[in-house]
Amino acid sequence: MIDLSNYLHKTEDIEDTANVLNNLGYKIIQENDKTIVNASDPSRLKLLAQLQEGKLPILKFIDESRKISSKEMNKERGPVILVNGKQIPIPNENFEEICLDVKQIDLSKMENKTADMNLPAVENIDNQSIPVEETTDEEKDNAVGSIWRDLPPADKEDWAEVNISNYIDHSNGWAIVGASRRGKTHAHEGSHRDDSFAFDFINGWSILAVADGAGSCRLSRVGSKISCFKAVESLKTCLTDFKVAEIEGLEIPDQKDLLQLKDFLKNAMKSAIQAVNEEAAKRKIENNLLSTTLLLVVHHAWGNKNIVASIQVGDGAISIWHEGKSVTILGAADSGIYASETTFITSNEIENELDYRVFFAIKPGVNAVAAMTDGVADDFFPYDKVMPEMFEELCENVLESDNPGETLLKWLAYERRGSFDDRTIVMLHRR
Amino acid sequence: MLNEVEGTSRRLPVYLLLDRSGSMSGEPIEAVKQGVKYLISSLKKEPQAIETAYLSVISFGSDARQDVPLVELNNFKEPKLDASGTTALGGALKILNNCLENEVRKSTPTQKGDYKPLVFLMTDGEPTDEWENAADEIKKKSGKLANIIAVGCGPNVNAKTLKRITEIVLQMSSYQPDDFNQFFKWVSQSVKQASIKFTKDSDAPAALPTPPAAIQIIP
Repeated sequence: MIDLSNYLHKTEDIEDTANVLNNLGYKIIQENDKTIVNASDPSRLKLLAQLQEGKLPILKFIDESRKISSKEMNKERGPVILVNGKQIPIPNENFEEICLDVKQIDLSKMENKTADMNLPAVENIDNQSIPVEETTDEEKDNAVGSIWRDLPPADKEDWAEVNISNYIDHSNGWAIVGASRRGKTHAHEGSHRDDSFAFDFINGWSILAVADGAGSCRLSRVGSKISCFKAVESLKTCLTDFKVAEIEGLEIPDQKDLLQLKDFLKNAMKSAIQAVNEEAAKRKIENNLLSTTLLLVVHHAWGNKNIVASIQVGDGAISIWHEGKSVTILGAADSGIYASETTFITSNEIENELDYRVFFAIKPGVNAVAAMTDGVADDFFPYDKVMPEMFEELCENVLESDNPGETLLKWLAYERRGSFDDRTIVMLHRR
Repeated sequence: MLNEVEGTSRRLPVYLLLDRSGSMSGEPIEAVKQGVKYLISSLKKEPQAIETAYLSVISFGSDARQDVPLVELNNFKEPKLDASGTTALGGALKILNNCLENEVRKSTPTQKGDYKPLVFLMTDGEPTDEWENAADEIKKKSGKLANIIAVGCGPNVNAKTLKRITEIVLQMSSYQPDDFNQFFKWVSQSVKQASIKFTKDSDAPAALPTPPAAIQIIP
């Protein structure tokens, strides 16, 4: 225990400090002209000892005492507010009302006393501005920005890196860049990125895959990753020795070749579905928990044209950038009446529909082909008007940089109101 | 940074259908007003809700009206709710039907659709107007075009009536202000959840948080 009169000289300072310390959990005893401060718990006793030994100046002592009290308060009662040196706990529902009351307190009388005592809570109230006008859009965006958390994923199993990117230059005139970025929702919750991508190149064929794991399914990141890799692997095997015949005078490829390519795409989708089912069986869980969309697209030069072929289950988009001028979407996204309603590769009977999900484009002047999950596609809607801007920006800035993968990943961090899904895009482009 | 296209942010429409009949006068209607205030301030702490939740209030007494057309959280102004008169639930349901068809945006090739709307209906008694047709219309939409939750409060509510409107019916046994607080807390949690976990599978029913002790689910 200590005697406050050893540390403070003015009577009113001693009195005020005694009050403060009383509210901070200390025992105060007035003995003649001595003001004794004591405590019974180890943390406060430690501070008293430090004060006595001269290791802690009085103001610091009060500060540290406040921290102890604050911790205890928060454990038991939730938010508190310091008014006039007293800690008042606030029942959550009335928080705002009490805040308003506090702001109206006349602090001018307190000012002189508090100067010595350094009560931060009161100072903060002094400096706080009370917003009464409607906030501007900019202010709204900034305010919202400060509420968003960015937490690492809590689930240590089946780890998915928060952001990934990759880039291959095929030095045959084509290169592929891909990146996947965790969305704000997952960052705020501390959950994983559920999107995945994969791509490869063989025998003149470029193979791109993107997948979006269902947000409501716990392990969908496993489903999306397996689907991408298995599908690309399957296509790589099929396309190793396959070429679409180029014959003089032929405007479009032979029907036989196109049907063969269609089969390859269907098989790739099937092998993804099978891999997901096998993984679910291995883990002894429902395959629905690994639900994911899957978009696959392949490309090959064909004479002075290009063959682009795709298969898609779910939302997102596969788009073709023509001669730096226009965009066409290959295939169609699965969607319902409302946003975020879509189909997954684990959906019932999906294998019977695969025939209707394969699309071809035979075109000259293809500058780029992109596959993207709806986290990106949704932000460039309507596609015909807005997606050209996306391609222009990507071709100008991302692809010309030293590290296209990293630059693409940075680009994926663009701010857009209401857009907080994972974002993934893989783009094949002419060098 | 690319320019934003006008009005293409997807919204989560939330409709509150509130009973302001005579029996709600005094403490009950005050508690409802407090509840709406709480709901707004609570949602404003959630970044996803701030960016996507749009609220509308439809109230019914002797007449029914849309006090607040669908508006974003930051622009929401609490409506004046005076409790008196009878219970024009049918009128309210007609307005709701109209909103679901015209105010809520559907996905089209040129328009981004809203997320599936959430509807919370709260009433303390039997409807006094023609309500059956409107209820049947809403029932058709319930689950598919909107997640509709009906909460009856007090002893004068008929669960069968509410079941004709939607499958999801809950019962608040009393009128205590705290019960209303709990109800609005639960509404807030439901909206937060909906704005985070937009269910991708349209066939799956809405996953709602567990209702508080004061509110019982009617199976």
